[in-house]
Amino acid sequence: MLAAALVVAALLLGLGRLERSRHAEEQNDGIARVRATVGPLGSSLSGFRFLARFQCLVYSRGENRFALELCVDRSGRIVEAIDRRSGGTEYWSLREDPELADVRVDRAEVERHIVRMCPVCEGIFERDAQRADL
Amino acid sequence: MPVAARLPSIERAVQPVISATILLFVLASGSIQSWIPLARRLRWLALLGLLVLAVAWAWQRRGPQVGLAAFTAAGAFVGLAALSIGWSVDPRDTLGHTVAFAVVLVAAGALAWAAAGRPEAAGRVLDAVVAGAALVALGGLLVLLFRHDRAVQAATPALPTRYQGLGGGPNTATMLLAVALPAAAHVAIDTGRAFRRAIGTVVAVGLLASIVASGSRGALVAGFAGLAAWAALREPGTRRTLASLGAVAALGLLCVAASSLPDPDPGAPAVEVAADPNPPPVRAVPPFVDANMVLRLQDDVGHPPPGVGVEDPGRTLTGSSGRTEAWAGAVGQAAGRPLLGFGFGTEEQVFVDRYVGFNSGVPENSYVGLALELGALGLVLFLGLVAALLVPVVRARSSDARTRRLTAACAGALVAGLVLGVFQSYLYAPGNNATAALWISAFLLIALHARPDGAAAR
Repeated sequence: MLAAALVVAALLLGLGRLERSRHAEEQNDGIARVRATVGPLGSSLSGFRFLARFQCLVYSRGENRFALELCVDRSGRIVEAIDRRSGGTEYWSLREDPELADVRVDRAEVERHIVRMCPVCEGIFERDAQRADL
Repeated sequence: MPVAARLPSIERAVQPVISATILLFVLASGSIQSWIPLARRLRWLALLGLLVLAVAWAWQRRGPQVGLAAFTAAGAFVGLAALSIGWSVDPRDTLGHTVAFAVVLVAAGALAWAAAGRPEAAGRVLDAVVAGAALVALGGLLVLLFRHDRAVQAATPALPTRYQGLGGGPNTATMLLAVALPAAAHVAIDTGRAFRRAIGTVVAVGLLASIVASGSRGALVAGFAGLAAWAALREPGTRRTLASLGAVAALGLLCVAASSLPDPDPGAPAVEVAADPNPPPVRAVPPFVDANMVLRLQDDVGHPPPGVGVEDPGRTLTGSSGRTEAWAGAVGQAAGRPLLGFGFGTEEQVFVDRYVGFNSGVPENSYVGLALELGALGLVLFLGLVAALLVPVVRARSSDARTRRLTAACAGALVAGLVLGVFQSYLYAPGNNATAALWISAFLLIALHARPDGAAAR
């Protein structure tokens, strides 16, 4: 009985981990597609989004000023990507599990672009960096 | 000291601890903000105290046995929750939630074990749940008297004035009141002495009035679903049952009409919801835009094109307040890890509110939330637990009047709780104010159908 329970537990543990990595793979694939569609991080930028856990770069396509969005955490991992080109919202996200986000960008470059659009953001980035150093 | 002499003292001590635990859980997310930090600490102490007392009581009364199906089902569910630490997006949170929920289930199970085969003891446990809810309703009235601004949520252009009493919002304490309503109705109508019935009537009316004044549609539907289950089970005869159900339906319609009376205030200032609780002071240099000012992520799905204002449909009796869109989105998220989910207790981290018209950190549906946390298997195990608890109800009609009526009250509480689960994410949330009351009442069902001679009910 105990042995059977242990086998079931081990099986479930394996399945749970498999589901986790497959889900992360799917999300990372979607994020990579949006990243590739964006092209160079600094071109067609239309805006930014500043949130506590991550910041986003927003890109225009044609008339749509919010067509694509890449959200990057402090380590440079893209934790969320959004595609609004169809008029609806399609998103891929690993917000809840950022350690598994494997599409990366240069965080310093992201901050440079945000500061270009929002000069006061430079002070916030500097403060965050000082806090991280402490 | 002989066991027989110790029994009543533990049994007596259990009652106030149950009531105090229920009250503390409400205060921990209540309307009096200065009490919240202390209540948050005390509620876990009270729950642990209840666990110790319940287990001690069950240990003393270990002769009679209850059916083990519900305990096995509860064990399987908690086992899966514990295993999910291995694939959770936040193992620490999963561990904490699993332990806390296990404490709630073990306490509820131990109370049932201790009261097994003794309807009078089960009745006293249920009385304690009603007393806890009565304290919450009474506390709400006191807040209304002395801190009116905290007891009432002011009207907005979209929402009418809503009573919240002791709860942190109109939908908070009313969850507990809805779960306790069938048990209060039982005390009001089905118990022996006139004085007890009078007290029960006052409490039942107080709970119902609080729910109606809160305008909480989920609590109202759940409370009346529970009352209907209680009415359907308390009498053996079909004619009496139909008459009871008719009375519940008529009262329900009256309450729905009363709860729709207050109107929104078009002149009131609109409530602005910040994109972030502590938004940094950022400002975009034209032609660039700060996306939070135009298209917030929490309004992304269903938002009209930028520049077009969002039309607020207001709050109607049958409207979902954006829930249906949020449920669909959360089900889509759950499909990402369909079998075993993202880990027990992680619903708040995993669910992302992207839906215009919806404003909550959880999908506000326990079944969708459970699918997110523990996947399809978790949902199946949970429903297995509910089925194991409801099995005794099938045999209730052939029981003596007292057992049948107590069974009806407990089944009513369980039905109210399950229906409430359609509107709120809470059934498995140990910190929620209705969770302990629900599981204590639900486990009493198996206590009522155990045999005092030691033979387990199957």
